[in-house]
Amino acid sequence: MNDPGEQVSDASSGRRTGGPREFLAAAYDACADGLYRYALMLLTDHAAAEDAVHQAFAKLVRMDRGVLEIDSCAHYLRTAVRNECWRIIEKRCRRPREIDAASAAHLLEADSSSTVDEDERARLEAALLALPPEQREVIHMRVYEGRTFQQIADLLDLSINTVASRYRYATDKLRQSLACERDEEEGSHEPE
Amino acid sequence: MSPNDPQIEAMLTRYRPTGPPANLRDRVLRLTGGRRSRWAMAVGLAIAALLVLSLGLDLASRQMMQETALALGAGRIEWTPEAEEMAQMLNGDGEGRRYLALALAAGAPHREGFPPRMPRIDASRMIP
Repeated sequence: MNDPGEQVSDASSGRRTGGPREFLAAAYDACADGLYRYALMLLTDHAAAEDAVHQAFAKLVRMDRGVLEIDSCAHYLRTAVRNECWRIIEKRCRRPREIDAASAAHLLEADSSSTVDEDERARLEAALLALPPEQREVIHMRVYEGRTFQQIADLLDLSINTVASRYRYATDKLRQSLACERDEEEGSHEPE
Repeated sequence: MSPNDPQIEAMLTRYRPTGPPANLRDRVLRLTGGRRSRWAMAVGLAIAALLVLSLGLDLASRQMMQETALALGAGRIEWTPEAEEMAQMLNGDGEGRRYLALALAAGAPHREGFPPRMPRIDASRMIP
């Protein structure tokens, strides 16, 4: 899977002749899917992810005429979504609230080539929800965007060791969570 | 038995985070439309405010002129065709019109009481 916005420069430069609305539509079509998935992985809340993506595009629009001059609107949008996500996360830390069921539902969907195992999906979702957002972010960029640790480190302005550690901690926690759930399930199915 | 790293990665790649809802695109694209309408509304409001302000200032200046004329003891100045002709004879410029208006005000029907009546000036006599 690629960066949500890497195809963006091409898409945007090809459509620069249109007005801001056309440019925005092109930028949305090129980036929004990946940005939304990224925001959802960080925030684990559909409504908040939607707001984060909306806010990022609103910032792009507020740049007024500059919108048509941005060379790398994908990079800009990615940074804006990330900043917005962390702002929401920090706000949640100050004023914790329960995420309603509708917003938290279906964090994951089956990849187009795979069949859905609802049980497995639910277990994986629960395990991902138990991770801190910074670890989910690295998991997302590594697994779903196919980036190397070096690329992630450059994008997040972190050292490669920090990125690798976060990934290691995340996979360790996922393994533990999935093993615990599997043990519980096996325990509950044992005959008395 | 706990899954190993390749198993976890394989499990993760079988799924992916859910995509955006269909209505998000419309919501984002409305950002440009909303901006335009807000801008148009701001311009409209500014024009309306300027119009109201200019009308208000015009009314206030008329009122002040009337009050000044009354305070000077002059009645309402009648700008008749004869007066207009006279103004044209005085080159029709602002200075001539002001002079003529003052002369007419002094000669107009007087308000009772204060201030005391001013000597009547025959404007036609001022023309050389």
